[in-house]
Amino acid sequence: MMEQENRTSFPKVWQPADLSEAWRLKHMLGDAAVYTAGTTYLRTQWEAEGAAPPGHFIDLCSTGLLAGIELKDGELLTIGALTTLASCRSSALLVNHVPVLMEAVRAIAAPSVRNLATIGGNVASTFGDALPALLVYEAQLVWYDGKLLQVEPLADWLAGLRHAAANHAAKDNRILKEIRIPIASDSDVDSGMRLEMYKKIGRREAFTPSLVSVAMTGRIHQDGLLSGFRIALGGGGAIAQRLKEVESLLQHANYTQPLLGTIYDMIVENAELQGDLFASALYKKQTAANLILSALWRAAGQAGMH
Amino acid sequence: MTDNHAMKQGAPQVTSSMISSETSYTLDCDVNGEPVSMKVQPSRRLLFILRDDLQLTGTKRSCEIGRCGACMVLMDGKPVNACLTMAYQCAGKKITSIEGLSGRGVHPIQQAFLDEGGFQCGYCTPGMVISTKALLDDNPRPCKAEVEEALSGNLCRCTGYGGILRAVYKAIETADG
Ligand SMILES: Cc1cc2nc3c(=O)[nH]c(=O)nc-3n(C[C@H](O)[C@H](O)[C@H](O)COP(=O)(O)OP(=O)(O)OC[C@H]3O[C@@H](n4cnc5c(N)ncnc54)[C@H](O)[C@@H]3O)c2cc1C
Ligand code: FES
Ligand code: FES
Repeated sequence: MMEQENRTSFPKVWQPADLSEAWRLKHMLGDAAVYTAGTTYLRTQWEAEGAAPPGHFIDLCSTGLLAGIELKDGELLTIGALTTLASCRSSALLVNHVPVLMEAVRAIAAPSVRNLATIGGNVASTFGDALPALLVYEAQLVWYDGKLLQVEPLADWLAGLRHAAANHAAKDNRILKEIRIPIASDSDVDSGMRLEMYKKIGRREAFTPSLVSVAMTGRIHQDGLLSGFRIALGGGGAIAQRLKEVESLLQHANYTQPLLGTIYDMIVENAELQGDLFASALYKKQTAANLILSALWRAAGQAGMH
Repeated sequence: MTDNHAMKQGAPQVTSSMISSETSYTLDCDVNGEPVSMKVQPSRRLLFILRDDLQLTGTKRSCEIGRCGACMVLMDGKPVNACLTMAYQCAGKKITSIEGLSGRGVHPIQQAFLDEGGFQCGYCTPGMVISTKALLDDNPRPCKAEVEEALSGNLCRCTGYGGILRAVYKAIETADG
């Protein structure tokens, strides 16, 4: 028996020669068209969530948009939007300079999906598991708006998304060109032990969508002083967010057991995580808090504090 | 520019780029060492091109959303899910399905699955073998964590994975001589 693909109409595929043509196509075709990169996130929308694919694909892979990872002048890591997650996974630059991002990539899907999926698609999907890791590195996004390139802090873009979601605003048509991550030079960082952590919790051990994901970087000094902490949450359909209140509390605080209790309460109170069919908001917040606390406790142990 | 819908909008000129209408797209690629040139919808999935158009039914159809690995094939030597990959994404690529792994013989990885009982119903096996091939081509002596990561996109509903892992380690040993 023939197993035909169950479709009555097929999308048209456009392969624009450059970004400006891609942008013009999107402008012309509006909601009937979608930018496509690896199409792996889009497929989850069409198949699992039952939405029909739109009438037109605008394939960004034909635009000459760059794929690749570079370290510029030792201080700026650039990742082209079309870089596949598989290329990220095998990048020595990522391991050496942004290990939290590398761990996030390792936890996304499986190698075969990562061979198609791009980092730009992960970001632009707005829910990608790379987002909390990019947030703790204070990544910037370079967008093409039809005329110019704009550089926007990832945190600002995410804040805009939160605002737009609350106001039911339409998504814009900008094309993500590249992700930039400032790299601290050794002289910029004070002493102490580095803590770098990414954890994703799903409903099974591997190859699973996230319920909650946590990224954290910071330093613990021998006298117990904490410094430079950046903590971000995401996953499970939440827009990724920094935990600024917790970061401020940790800045120049001394590690103590009671401090852990205060942080736990703060996270459960402040994290913006929503419940879904599989886990309540409270479960996700408590999970995030436990992941952060256990990483801090383990690091404090390694630094000789207990 | 030929697309009616786009022209109706009275929009700025777009000079090139639509690769499809209902019938116009020709996919040129290489499947199992043979050049293939065929008219298909550019968004037709490789899974259906292999199974229905080329009668290469060793590539299995199951979840169709990238979650089980039954449809795994190699694209330029890297594993991809044929159910996620569309025709236009295969243009100019070398596709290897399970049928192309060893011509008419049994590939050493397949032999290792036979020797170690790395299957029961066998439905996941072509995908498992393809993922193992991709892993060992890239990294002939993987550690346990690397094996587990490489096979993390392949689900088996029968074996409990013990036999599959034994088969992979046997294939590593065999390749080591
Ligand atoms: C089986 C399976 C498992 C998965 N597991 C995970 C997981 O564990 N974690 C996770 O985060 N994701 C997961 N995903 C989702 C997806 O694979 C990733 O988010 C991936 O990085 C998306 O990249 P893509 O290139 O395929 O994006 P696409 O699907 O092509 O695009 C995603 C979205 O971004 C837009 N877009 C893409 N590129 C650009 C650009 N340069 N500029 C502007 N807009 C753009 C598209 O219009 C679309 O809205 C999974 C998907 C599958 C099929
Ligand atoms: S059928 Fe393709 S991954 Fe399941
Ligand atoms: S042997 Fe039956 S699904 Fe794996």
